[in-house]
Amino acid sequence: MSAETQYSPIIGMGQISTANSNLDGTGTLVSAFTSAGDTFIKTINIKAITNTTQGMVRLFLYDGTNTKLLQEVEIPAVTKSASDPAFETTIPINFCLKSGWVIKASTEKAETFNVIVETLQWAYYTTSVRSDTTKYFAHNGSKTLSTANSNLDGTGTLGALITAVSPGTIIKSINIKALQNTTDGMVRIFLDNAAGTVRLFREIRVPAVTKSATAPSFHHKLNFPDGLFLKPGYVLQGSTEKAETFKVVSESVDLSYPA
Amino acid sequence: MQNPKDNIYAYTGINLAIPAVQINKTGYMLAERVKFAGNTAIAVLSTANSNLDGTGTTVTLITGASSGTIVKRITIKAQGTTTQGMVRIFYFLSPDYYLLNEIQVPAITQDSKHQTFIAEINEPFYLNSGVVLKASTEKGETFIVTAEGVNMSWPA
Repeated sequence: MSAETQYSPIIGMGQISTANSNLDGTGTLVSAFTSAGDTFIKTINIKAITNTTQGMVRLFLYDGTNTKLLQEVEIPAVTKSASDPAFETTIPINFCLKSGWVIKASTEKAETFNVIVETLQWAYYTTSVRSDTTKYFAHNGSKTLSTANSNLDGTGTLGALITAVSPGTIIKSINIKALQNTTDGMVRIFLDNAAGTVRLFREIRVPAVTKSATAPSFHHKLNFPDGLFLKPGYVLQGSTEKAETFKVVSESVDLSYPA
Repeated sequence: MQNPKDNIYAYTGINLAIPAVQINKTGYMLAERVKFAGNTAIAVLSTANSNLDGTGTTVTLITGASSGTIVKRITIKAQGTTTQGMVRIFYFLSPDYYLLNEIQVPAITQDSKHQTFIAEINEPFYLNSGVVLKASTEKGETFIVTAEGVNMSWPA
């Protein structure tokens, strides 16, 4: 039997917008995540909030002295609109980061991207040797979205979909269901660190749907097959491009460890 | 767009030094001592209700237990001939209703050789303690709605 490993979800958020074509770590870089302990980097989400042209987002590792290129992410040309999502991608990283090291990012073109780093910091329960005692408790969030908001920068009317609790919450799915006819539009999901930073995380295209007694209204279930690990206090916020009513139910489980 | 480069292994081509942190699909963190208790629930729908906002007649299907309930599957089975219509599933957090899903019901004439309408929702859903799933039918036709749930608990 080995010592129990206990995990604390931590999310890093950075925003890049200054053009930098360098691969050697020089030029403008933005810190997206700084490790405060041994940390498992699960995914990195890159979400544009502007139109994009062909370019590159680069991810770097900074060890306190040296900056090394970790990965390049090709960016396609995407013209966003009220019903066309801006570029987004999720990159599974599965990388163990040493305490104190930093994930940095840069953009080839002067276009704005949110870089959201999903991580799990781990520690060992040392009071005694015991097997995994992780407990999960169901946790739902529910919200009605109906006020039009076309902003991608986190301003305007948002609705809190779910708030993570200590030591962390694993989001399984977000169910979006229209209560009325819909026109071409968008539902947006934002990450809010409850400290003044709100970053666009996902966009869900809403098509024009006419509901009836026999035709269902718009429905979309945003699934996170591996779970989205949310740091305590962080909030998933939602907004709707059009003034149409959507019921949003979030499904998650809260982590818990015995004392 | 999800991982267009398909580069999941680009930087993990070797086994990680600390396998306990390989969370994704490895089964780690799943060795907990959770207990599951069956919580199967049945609701009968028959009163017409065309509302999407939770008003009108809805029937309680299943309620989340104290540590939460995993609703593994919902089965909707007509008890007779159906006309085109809809069965609706609501998430009810008193006093508010949230429409979760609509299931289209086709016109099916039941007889000795033709089975009635059946539909399954095979998407497991974690249900919070005290939260209720409810259901309604667009047409005044009878449906048996079965929820296959398991309640979670842990030893003290």
